[in-house]
Amino acid sequence: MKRTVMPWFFILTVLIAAFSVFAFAGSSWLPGSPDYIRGIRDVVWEHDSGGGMSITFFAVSADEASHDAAKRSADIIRSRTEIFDIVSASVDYDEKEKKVFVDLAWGEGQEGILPETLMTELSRPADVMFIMGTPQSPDNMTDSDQFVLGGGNILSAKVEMMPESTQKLIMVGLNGAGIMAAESLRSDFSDKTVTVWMDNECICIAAAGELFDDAGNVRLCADGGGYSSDEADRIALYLSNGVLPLELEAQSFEYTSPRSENVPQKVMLWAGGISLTVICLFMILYYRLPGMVACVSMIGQAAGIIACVTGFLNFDFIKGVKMSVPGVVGVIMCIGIGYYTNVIINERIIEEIKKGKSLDGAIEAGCSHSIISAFDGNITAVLAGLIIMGLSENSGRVTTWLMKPFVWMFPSVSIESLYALGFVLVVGSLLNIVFGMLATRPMLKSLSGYSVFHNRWLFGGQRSRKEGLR
Amino acid sequence: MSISEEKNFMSNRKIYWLISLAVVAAGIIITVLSGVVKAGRLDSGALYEYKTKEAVSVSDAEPVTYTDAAQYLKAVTGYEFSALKNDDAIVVTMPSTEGFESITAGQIEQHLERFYPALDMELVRGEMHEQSTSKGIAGRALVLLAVAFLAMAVYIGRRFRSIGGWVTAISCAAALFLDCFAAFVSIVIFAFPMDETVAAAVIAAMGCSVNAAIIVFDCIRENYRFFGESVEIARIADRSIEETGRRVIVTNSCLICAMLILAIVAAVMGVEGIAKMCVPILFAVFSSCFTSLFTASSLWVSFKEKQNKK
Repeated sequence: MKRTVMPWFFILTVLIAAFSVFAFAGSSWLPGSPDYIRGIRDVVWEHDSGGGMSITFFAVSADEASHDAAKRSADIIRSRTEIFDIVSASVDYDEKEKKVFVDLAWGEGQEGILPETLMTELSRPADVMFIMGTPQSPDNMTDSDQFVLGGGNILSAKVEMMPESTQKLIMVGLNGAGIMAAESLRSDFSDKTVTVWMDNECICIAAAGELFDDAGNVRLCADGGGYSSDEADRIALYLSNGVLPLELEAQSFEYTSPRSENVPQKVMLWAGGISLTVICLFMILYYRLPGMVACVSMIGQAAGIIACVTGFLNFDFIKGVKMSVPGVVGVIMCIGIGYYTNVIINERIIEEIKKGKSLDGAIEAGCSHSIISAFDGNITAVLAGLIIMGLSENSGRVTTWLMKPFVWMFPSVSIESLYALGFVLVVGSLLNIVFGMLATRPMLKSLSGYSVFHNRWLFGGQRSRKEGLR
Repeated sequence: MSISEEKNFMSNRKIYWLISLAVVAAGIIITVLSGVVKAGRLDSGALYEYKTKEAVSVSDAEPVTYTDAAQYLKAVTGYEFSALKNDDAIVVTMPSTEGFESITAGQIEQHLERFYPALDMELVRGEMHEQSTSKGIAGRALVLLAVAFLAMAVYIGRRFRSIGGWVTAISCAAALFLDCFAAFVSIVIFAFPMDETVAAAVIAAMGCSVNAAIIVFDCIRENYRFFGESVEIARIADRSIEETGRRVIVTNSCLICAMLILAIVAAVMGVEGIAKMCVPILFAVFSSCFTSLFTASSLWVSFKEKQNKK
């Protein structure tokens, strides 16, 4: 009877190959193609790889730490990271523990910023005071100095060019009460000097008549001229964001200087490539055809892991995971355990062949008897991955919520670099189950359907005299 | 139905237990002799690492020792310091965060450059952790390690109900404990600092090393179902070990091979932090070859035999 064979092996191999090319290289290499698909170059790295900083701030005064205050502080800090041109910044908060977690990654070619500078700038209150008079600082006001306006009166701040100059000034919009105060200052005290302070930094000294315009806006410029472009942008950002609602202090930080190249990424690619090659060669030599199927499946799994890490499709609402040094260990670990399902299936096929079953019967029995064992083995790795993900706390994650009952008694901490390890372990194990169930069985069956491959020896059995002659 | 008695692994079960206990005893002795496990990030304090630029190597610039550098920093700042040479870098640590607010990384750099005028330095790494953060991380890591251990034991207990759920869970838990212990001993032997990444590596290793035990017990379950009460428990275990030995060794070898390659590539490219994760995983997975095949299955046989006698 003529055997009808569905070429699943070839169909799936082509599909996996195409998926792998896109998962590793993205879609930008296609001529004229927009960046619809993210490749390995689009992986976002934690500060432990390309350089960056993670900081945990805590609120000094516990009473102030309402949910809104914690959220607002996180939002303000997030926007302040723009001052430093930081490419990747994630800011999270823990309302209960009164903490703000900041995670920053330096961009390519970025100059190093000292940790203290960064922590001070991100956590400064940015409390603005307009004082009539020239005190040495807002804390050393004399009887002749008078507080006239505060940060609460500021609605907006934007940078403008000074007329006939390369310098810049900042136009500050005030609220109703602020406009009224500005108008009275402009009309009644136009010659009096007003100093504008942000925390203890004097950002402007000018006569009231020059400082406030007819519409009640404030024209901020430095003493004796305008601001440089960077300075104006920095001050305008602080003014428009308003006062930081919480008084924050750094509880812990980790800093890594900018790196000229991302060495962990190189390690991942080299170690991944070498281990894939070595283990694939071993699998093919040891298991023959099923070994080749295991390799195709493994390449698909590796591509699947990378696709999950990058987010694959380049849409804003699809977010990837930040990769880290522990994440690299996770990826290589998944390559090591990626053969788990295939090894169990292949060994079962050899056993069934030894028992005297036909090749088709042995493949069918091997696949169906191995699924439970493969499932159980991978689920324990998924459990381990979920628990590792729970080590890293983030208010928006399910794993944080899942692990909270076990770690409620400890202060919350952010260990973002471990999240990638847990994530990769979970994804890798699930892909192992999926590929083992959906790809390996049809590929093995399809191969055995071709008369040229319908040979027990090719599936790990002993070479019989008849087959040996063929 | 009967099973041929070619391999009689279970007759040596006391030897397996003795080997396991001997390994544990050796591990305890190594730990005691090596001293207390070095605390890494779990400790509190501040650390700054300054890379010395190529102008002059650190060794050329040191007529003075690093203890002197630490004493100099203490004299100019008033805070406790310790300083260490690490290849082409100087690592300065402050044992407490007390002086952290008062002295910056930039100031320390200036002081060090004044002390070693021939060297040009650049801050490459900095860390600061208060006691509460360190305690939080340590506590979480230990609790989640215990949670991982329990979760796996419970899962195995549920999945292998048909061959005695709690008996299988305890047997696997014993094997898992030995694998974790092997990972711990590796941390002591290689003097890795104990921190959250090492704890995460041990949890990940648990997830992988228990796979081997699952392969063995899956086969035991299948043979138990097939032969039933007609065959001795020990013979079922013998046959299962014989059938699964190759599977366990091949699956674990793949993982060991991948981890070894990673450790070598990371060492060649000079990436810190990978070796301290790879080594515990390697030890745990290597140990699981023995513990899953012999320790767990022999314990299961003994428990089941006692159960059956009752």
